[in-house]
Amino acid sequence: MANNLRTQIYKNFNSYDTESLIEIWEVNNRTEWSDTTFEVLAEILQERLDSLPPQGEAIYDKNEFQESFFTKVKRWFSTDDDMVSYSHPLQEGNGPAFYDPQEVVNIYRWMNKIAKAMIPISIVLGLSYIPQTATIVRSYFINSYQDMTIIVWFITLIIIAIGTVLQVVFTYYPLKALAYILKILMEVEHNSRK
Amino acid sequence: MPKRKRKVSSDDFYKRKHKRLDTIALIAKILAWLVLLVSFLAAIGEFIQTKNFLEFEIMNGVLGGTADFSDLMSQRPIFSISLFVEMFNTILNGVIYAVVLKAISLALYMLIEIDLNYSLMNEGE
Repeated sequence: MANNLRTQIYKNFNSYDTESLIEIWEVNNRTEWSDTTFEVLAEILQERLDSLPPQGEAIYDKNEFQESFFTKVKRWFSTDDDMVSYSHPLQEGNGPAFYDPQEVVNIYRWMNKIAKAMIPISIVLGLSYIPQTATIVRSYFINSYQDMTIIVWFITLIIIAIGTVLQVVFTYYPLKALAYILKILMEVEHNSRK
Repeated sequence: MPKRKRKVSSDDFYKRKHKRLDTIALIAKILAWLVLLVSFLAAIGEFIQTKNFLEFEIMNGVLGGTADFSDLMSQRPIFSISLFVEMFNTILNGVIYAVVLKAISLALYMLIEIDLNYSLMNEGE
């Protein structure tokens, strides 16, 4: 059982790129990763680099581990990049005939990246539409006798906020879903082989 | 009503349904590149259209105080930002459509592969 878990962890981490592995190794966050994981990590890194890079002091307390905002954003942005290569070894005549697994991995990563990038992009795009939306909203109050500036800006901001949220929802979730469908289909295809 | 006979492909292994899916996947794959190309062309078209429109406005004196298009862009950054945002949005939409089409194409190819793998497995049993 323990051996099985170790093999599973090895398989999983072996598909990571070396840079990501070094980062996990250096941070040495034991609240997030188990001791077995670090043992496996050491094994993989030694295979790839010959020698182990220096490791930070082990973090056992969750409160001790405080990342900066930018580190958190960076980590969030690359969370789904774990799959950098096809994790199953391909032998002659064993691989799929209709598609290239590495292409699926690349598209999977691209979709995850675009889905996440769409959040800040949608916000920026939404902000850029404020002046013209305000002009349109103001045109509805052109005959008003009172100063409607506050109401105009309030309505504009609500419209922009709703528009931005909808754009995020309509792009983020379908892209994420499609990315996971691809990943699952690839696993199903692999398991369907003799 | 008589039952319609199921058409059997000449090749028992690679059936007509696979061929159809293969064709759809190929179309999606080609469309992905086409969409990407069209989105770039549309962004260029947007630039040219906006440039012509603004030059027309300058000529008519609507946008006074500016000599030409480049002068307007440097004097009123809101125009250049707006143009950049529009072009970026067009390209971004193209990229998203292209990636989705490519993903659909790959998903269809994988489905063919899965079906063929199971057919082979059944044949073996």
